[in-house]
Amino acid sequence: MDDAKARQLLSRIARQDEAAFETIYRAFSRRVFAYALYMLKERDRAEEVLVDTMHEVWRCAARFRGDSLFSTWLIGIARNKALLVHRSRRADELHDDLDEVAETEVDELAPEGFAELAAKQRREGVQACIRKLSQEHRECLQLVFYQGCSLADVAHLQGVPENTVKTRLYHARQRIKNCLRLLIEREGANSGVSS
Amino acid sequence: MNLRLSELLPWYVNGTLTDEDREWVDRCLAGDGDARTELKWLREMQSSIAQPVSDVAPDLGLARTLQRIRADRATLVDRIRSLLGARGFGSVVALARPIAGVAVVGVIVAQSASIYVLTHHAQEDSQQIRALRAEAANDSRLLRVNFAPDAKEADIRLLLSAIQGSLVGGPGQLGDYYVQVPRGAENAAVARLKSERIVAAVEIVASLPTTY
Repeated sequence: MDDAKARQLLSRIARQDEAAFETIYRAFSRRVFAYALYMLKERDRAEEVLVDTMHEVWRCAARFRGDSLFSTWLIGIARNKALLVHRSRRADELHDDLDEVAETEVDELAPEGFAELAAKQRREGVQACIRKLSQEHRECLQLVFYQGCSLADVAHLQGVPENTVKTRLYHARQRIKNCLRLLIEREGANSGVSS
Repeated sequence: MNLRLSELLPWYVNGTLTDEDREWVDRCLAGDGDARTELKWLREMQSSIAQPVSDVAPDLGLARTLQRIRADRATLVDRIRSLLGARGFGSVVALARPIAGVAVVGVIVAQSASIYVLTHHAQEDSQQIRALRAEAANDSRLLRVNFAPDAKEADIRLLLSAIQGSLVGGPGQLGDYYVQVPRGAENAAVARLKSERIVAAVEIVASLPTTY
């Protein structure tokens, strides 16, 4: 759904139009859910964030000032809801953010080596490596590669300068590559033992 | 692959580059095998990122959201009913036409009273907000603070206490909190906040925003 259509629907939602709300819900729910899932890594909590976010859209539709894309405004609301959930978690639930991958030395792979790696990679492996990233790196990847946000929008949403976004993106990419390399090496070693 | 090309590739993949940058990247890609490999990898990663939600139904959570919206609405209607019912709204319906006029007048009076009460409360709220803003302008300074995603509520409270700060607004949609500190203590507060790991950003601001 394009931004102009979303804005039209939002103005109808501000007048308590449930049909308009359902249309916008169906158009954007997957994006909100995907974002929350990346932030929280749990489907149940991601669904809670989705419901809270869309409820907020219903309640606050009239507050949309129109100085950003509707989708950016929406993800801003989802971000706030997800952060509240994240902060309310107990410390021992957050151990997996302290990932060993982020602490390991990031090796530069030779292009031809990486071509080989890319050919071998599995989708599950990429997802496993992304899950090991810190929350801010995961969020950055999500905003860029799933939400399709511009550099300025990612900086705005994360509340950091554009250069910080570039740095986060660079490190996230490098860490995933490094993680994948370790996974493949491990798989190679395991298959060597079993054969 | 040069740094600029490496930095632009993610935005090339997600389609948010300007035409000028896109053309530049296209030219670079034509003569750079490493960059083409990196592009292919980024596209595969993009596809991987989309995969976990590819099976999610667009109406996931919709029924619950609508239920919540309708519950809000029902609560509002109940409040109005109870307000009018206390003044005999229910019996008005059952009364005969000759006295309906009297009842309607009664309802109008009751509604007027309700509107007066609500308006009066709204004025009180506005006065409190204005007072708060005036206080912020005269005796204190306002800081806009963003906390790190992993900041815990207890840590935030301890930190606010340490800088003699109190929360007066937020969180906004982007997680902005507004903290009031005594006038003259703002620079020390900013320095302390900046030194804390749980603070992502802090800035002195003139006033609370009109909307969050």
